[in-house]
Amino acid sequence: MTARYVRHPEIRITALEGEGMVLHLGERRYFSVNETGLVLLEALQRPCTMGELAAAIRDEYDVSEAEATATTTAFLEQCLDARVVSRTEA
Amino acid sequence: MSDPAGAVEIRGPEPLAGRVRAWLSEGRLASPRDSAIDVIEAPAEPNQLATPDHHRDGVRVWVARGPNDPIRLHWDDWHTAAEIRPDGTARLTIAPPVAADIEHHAPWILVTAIALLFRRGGLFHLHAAAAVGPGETGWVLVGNSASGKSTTAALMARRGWHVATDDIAFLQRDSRFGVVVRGFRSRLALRAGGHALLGAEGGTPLGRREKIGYWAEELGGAWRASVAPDYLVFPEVRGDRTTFEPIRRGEAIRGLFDRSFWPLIDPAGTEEQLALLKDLAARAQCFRASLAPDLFEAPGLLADFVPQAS
Repeated sequence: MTARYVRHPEIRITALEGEGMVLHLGERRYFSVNETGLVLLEALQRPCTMGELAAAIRDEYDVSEAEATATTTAFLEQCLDARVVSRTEA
Repeated sequence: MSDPAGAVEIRGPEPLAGRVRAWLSEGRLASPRDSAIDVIEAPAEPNQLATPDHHRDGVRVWVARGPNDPIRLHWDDWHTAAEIRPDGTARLTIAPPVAADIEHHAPWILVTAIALLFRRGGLFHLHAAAAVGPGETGWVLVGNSASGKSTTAALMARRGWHVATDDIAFLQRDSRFGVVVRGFRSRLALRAGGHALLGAEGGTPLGRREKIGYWAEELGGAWRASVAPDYLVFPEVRGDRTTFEPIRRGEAIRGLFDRSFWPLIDPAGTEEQLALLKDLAARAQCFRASLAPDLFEAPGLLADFVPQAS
């Protein structure tokens, strides 16, 4: 079983110069998001594994696999708490 | 500039309907589509059977779940309710004491109604002041009701600037500038402190709002229908010296949404609104400002405090 993560369909994002805002229409809440978060939310438009998300970070930034995984894990935890992202097992 | 074309029909008993009609007419903001507002003078009680989606500061809101759903609001203390329908009609049930002083309540009840009606026609409400200074420089000040917007707008008018609004702005797509800020014309409403600083004679007491109102023309300025934004400022009244601090454009988007959060109530048009907020933040130079009494001594007003690029 592999966990996959995907963005909630009612998420809207607007951003400029690597920083922006996430609007969750379903939850009627909004958040600020940084450059790394924008990279991950872009990738999360389709279901992704943790490894695929970490790879998306490494495609953009010169960081180690461990750093990319730690960043991704922390961001996913926040997104799962806020129901911005859902997790499925496949 | 693509001017909106439409009319808002106000239906209901006089004199209430006539006073709402007069407020709207004074605003000189053309509706982006034909709309109708039914005003009913009667106390409204909230629907106790349906839990509101928001209940804050004495206002209950039942949001639109889909594009064909109405939006319902209830102001607890005022026993007043609004229902905004997607077909461009609205019904306002206004308690008699509120109806008797409808101009005082307009910034909440009537502005909410037109904000929700107009957003489906491409006009998106933003809690902001907007003005044009020397050299056709467009200024937009975004902030809450005590952030210094009105006093600054009045000072701008006193220096001959063209003021679109001190409080009720609407964003609109524009073929030339990308985005413009349209102003709802109303009296610039000064609290006692701002009024004393301005030192202007005359003015009109604004009902129970304990403010003094001036048309921009009464202060030596003029009204301007729309402003192409060059400077986007998030002000607060603080300290002894006026200061400007550049902010990131992404931060500005968040600040704009804080004062234009209508997608949380009506998701229709969200993408268009977010695109306008982004374009506004991208087009303008963005600052956070502390406003202080020394602003009144500055010949160029806000422009004197903008940090110069090195």
